[in-house]
Amino acid sequence: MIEQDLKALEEKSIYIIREAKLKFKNIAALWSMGKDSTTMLALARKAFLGKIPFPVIHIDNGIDFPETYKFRQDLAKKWNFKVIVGYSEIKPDLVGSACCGKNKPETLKKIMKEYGFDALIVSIRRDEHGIRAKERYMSPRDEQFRWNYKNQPAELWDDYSSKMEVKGHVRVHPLLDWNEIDVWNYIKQEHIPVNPLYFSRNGYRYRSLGCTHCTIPLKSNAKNVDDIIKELQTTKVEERSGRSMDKEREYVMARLRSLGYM
Amino acid sequence: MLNFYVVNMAVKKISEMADTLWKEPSRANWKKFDAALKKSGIKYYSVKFEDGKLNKKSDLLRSYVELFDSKKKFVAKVPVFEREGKKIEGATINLIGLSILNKVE
Repeated sequence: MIEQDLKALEEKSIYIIREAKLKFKNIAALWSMGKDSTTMLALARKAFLGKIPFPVIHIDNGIDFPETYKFRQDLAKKWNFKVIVGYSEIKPDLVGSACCGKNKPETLKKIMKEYGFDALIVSIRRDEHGIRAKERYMSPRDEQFRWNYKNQPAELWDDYSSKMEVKGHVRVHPLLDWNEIDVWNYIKQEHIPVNPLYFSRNGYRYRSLGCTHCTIPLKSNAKNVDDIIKELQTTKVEERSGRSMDKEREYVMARLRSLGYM
Repeated sequence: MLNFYVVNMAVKKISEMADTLWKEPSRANWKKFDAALKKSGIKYYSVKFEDGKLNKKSDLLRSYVELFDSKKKFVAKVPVFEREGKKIEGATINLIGLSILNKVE
């Protein structure tokens, strides 16, 4: 796994977060309590002198890990930011990819409408999945959250478009260039708190976190951040191999993202 | 001896409350369970699926959480959801404070 220059990544991400705050009237960030979105919050704190100047949204289907809920409570208190929790009901025959693909975006749509957000910071990375590699730093979505990846504004010379051709919102992706190992190196450098599920217990750890029902732990003895970095330097296992939805048909993630999945 | 008795009583209470939750996983019953859980000495949990499958809603509603004490001894199993009328919501937030067991089968 290629390790990049953290200073350059940090500067670009902070620039994108500041640009987004400046260009949009009402912005929010999505937080899954995973390593990426928590790193994004740490970057936002750095960008705005220790404060997170926008609300943070958690789409909660009620079956997240208890450790994840505890982490949400503790970090929101420690860093003093506002968390908007959108409760997603368990609907008939919607589990796995259908649960994330329909239930969660529906709940997010309600929140976006209720609060009138025009931009949403999402902590996806290009190296996570092929379809995420097609994203821009600022990527428009229509009112139904649909993403037309064939028609996205060009982003030349760090000039990011905030204009929308249709009514909807813009997804802002400040971590697009980061690799998994960059995130862990940055967590180590900045002493960012992380969900304890990432660390090995009984020979297993979670490498990518979802809810209790779609995430399985992988074999690992990495008990702290240093161990995780060492593991990532040599591993050949994919990051999201413990996430059930990615294992389904190849086009599932492409379909989910086009429908508004985070 | 007294300590053993107190722990046994707490475990018995959790088992009884787990039975109540299976019969009626209402918000009120989950609140009572949450309060009892904090005093029970239960440390670990593990999410399980009936027949090891999760393909449809009925599988989700039949999945459960196993609870274990500090010595990793099985104590009880509880549902993963709460039901208020026709509305079904996940309820794992009520297990805050427990650690995942990651028990290898």
